[in-house]
Amino acid sequence: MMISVGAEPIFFLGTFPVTNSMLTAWIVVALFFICGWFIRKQASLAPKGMMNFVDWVIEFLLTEAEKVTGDRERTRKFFPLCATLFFFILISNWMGLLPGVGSIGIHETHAGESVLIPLFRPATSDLNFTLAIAIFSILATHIFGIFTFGFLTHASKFFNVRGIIRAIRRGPMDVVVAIVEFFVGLLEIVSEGAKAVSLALRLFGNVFAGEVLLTVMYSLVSFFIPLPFLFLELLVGLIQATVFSMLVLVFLKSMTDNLHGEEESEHTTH
Amino acid sequence: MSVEAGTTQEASIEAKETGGIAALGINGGMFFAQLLNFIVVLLIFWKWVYRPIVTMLDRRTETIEKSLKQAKEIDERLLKLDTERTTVLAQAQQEAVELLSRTHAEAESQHQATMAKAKEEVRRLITEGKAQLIKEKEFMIKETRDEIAALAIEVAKKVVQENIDKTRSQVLAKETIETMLDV
Repeated sequence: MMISVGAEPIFFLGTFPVTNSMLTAWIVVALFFICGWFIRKQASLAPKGMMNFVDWVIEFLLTEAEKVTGDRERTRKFFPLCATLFFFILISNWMGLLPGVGSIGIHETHAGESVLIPLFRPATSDLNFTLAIAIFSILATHIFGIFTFGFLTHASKFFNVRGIIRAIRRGPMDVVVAIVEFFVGLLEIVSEGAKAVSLALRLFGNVFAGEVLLTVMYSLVSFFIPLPFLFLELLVGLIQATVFSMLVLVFLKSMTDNLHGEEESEHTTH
Repeated sequence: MSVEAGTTQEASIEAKETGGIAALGINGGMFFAQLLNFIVVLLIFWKWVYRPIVTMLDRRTETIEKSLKQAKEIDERLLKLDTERTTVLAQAQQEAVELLSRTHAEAESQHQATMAKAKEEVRRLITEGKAQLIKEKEFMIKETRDEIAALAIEVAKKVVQENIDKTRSQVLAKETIETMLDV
């Protein structure tokens, strides 16, 4: 039995390797396309059938997001990104629990040993995907920050030259503090990178560990015993989707919180 | 597919053998392809799901708020109307009571007046009747006297003209008296 950390290529489009996680991601994209098309057609003031559920879910998520941001306007801005993250991660995670995902594949011989290359693998168990959405999300927090405060104000959070210039007028002690703050700002850049990496690795680690756990359990006992682990993975899938989207929402909120107020409060505490 | 799969497996293994990021399966092309997948889903969600539903939710909230406002206004109007109705009813009842008591008083006074008038009329009629009776009585007495006088004269004439014996005079007297009684 071989469980690969990276997604396995299934075929090539020219020189581009199409991996099993990519295939699953395309299925998820197709699913979202169909659902989106259906929802667009069905959206009405008086929803019927499944649209009631869709409306309820969106309304529930909006309310929960508003509890985090505490601001209706910002919630409306951040919601599409956070909700897409939530749904994409959730569906990708749960796709891994479907029969056939991870178990149906192509047998290949490597070093005289037959190896099963699964046709499908959850997109979230591919570090390319988790890194892509994590970096995209962190970049989005900065874009929102720039749109909210302007480029210079947002950049001064990381390169606080403005603080040093202001401190020169106040006195030498303030200059020392401003220089320290400048270096703290530089450290913030590292922390931004760490945010993206931690987001990506947390999601990947949890989902991949779940995949490994399920594969091991299935290979040990085929019936009944893996059931609790399946339920556990259902829960893990939901929790990881929530954690990822909530963290991005919190990052978005902190990036668009009033810097001026923070600066003022910092100065008063100094 | 199987031929290609053989090639892909070799490529995968080759990547893992190089170590580092490639060992984790990180690949620039795959990274951007997955990013593209996510962006596509984001756009679909944004354009087809989020916008229509949030617009619909806003419109629904607006409609509900409007309806609630209208319902509140209607409630207030109803309350006002109810208060007005109660006031008007109370006023009408009061007026009715006043009217009734006034009518009662008027009726009583009219009754009293009519009764007094009737009593007066009866008294007048009795008085007139009595006067009439006395008049008639006096007239009858006078007539009776005249009758008696005429009879007496008649009797006297007969006594004078005829030789009447004691028995005959008694019969005549008796007849005269009977005639008088008949009258």
